Amino acid sequence: MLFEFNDNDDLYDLDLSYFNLDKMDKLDNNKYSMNLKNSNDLDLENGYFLGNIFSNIYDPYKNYKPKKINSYSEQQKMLLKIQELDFIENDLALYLDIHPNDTKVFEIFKRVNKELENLKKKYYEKYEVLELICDNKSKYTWIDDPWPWDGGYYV
Amino acid sequence: MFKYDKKLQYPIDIKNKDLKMAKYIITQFGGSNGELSASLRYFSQKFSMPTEEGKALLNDIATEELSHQEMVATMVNQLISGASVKELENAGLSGQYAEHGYGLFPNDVNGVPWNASYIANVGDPIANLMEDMAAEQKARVTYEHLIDLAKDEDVIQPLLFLRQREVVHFNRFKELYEKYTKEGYK
Ligand SMILES: [Fe+2]
Repeated sequence: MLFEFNDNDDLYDLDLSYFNLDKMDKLDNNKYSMNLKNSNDLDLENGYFLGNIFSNIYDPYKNYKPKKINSYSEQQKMLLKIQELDFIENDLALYLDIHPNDTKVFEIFKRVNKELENLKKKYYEKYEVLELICDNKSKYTWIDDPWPWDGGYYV
Repeated sequence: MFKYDKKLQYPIDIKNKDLKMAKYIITQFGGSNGELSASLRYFSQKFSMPTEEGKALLNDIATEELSHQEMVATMVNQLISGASVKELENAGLSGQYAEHGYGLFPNDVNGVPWNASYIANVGDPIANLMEDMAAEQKARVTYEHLIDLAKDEDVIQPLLFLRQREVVHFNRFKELYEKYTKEGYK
């Protein structure tokens, strides 16, 4: 099943104190994750599955519970993380559009962006291109199935 | 300009055919409160937003709505996948089949084609933002009705996601509306 909790999913665990930012600068990380937790009620851990990273405006419907998405293969896990980071980046951007002077959130945005770019690069080196401009494989692969609407969770 | 990313904003993998659900969900593809309406409404309005914040917000939400249009279309496409003509007929989709075969067409739940009168743009930031807030609420409610009608988790989960995005958009439009009112835009 696509929609089930999966507690063993630690391969690309998107913990932005969480987001394995440790690779970038270890020293800053502690200070940073503290800021994160106090910063505008951001729920970076569950925000993607909830459809909203801002807990202060999260609005559940009846008793429906949004579920984490299961991923089977290494490729699925990685693609899902890319989708998740991309989503978080977008949700932060909508906030920053009207709060451009919130430096704390802008710092988070920059880190998410950097993590996302790194992961996308790894993904298309290993698997497939997600953006036309990145098709530098030995043949033109942009047209390759599956396309996003094909289902089967893309892989 | 726009560039395509070869991924959905949120994964959709519906394994069970459900023609009735397809007939309902199509309304978010081409109905008055649907994603096409949302995208074009904000896309049209961004050109007359008076400040950087307004231009950015309308631009970015318009873009996101287009990716929701893709998600909705993906849901409908997967829900009708493998259906026979007889099954379409039984689900009340014979008219849809006669006109469009298995192709997707932006119409509402009753087959009425998408119409530009679903969107508004009066060129005034306050009036437009008020319109946008109402539009987001109407889209939220439509998703709630669709969730009420759905039984399959593969369908419910993306609908919950899309509903929550309307909640976020509503709140951002509201913040901008309040900011503009304070700044004296009428
Ligand atoms: Fe929206």
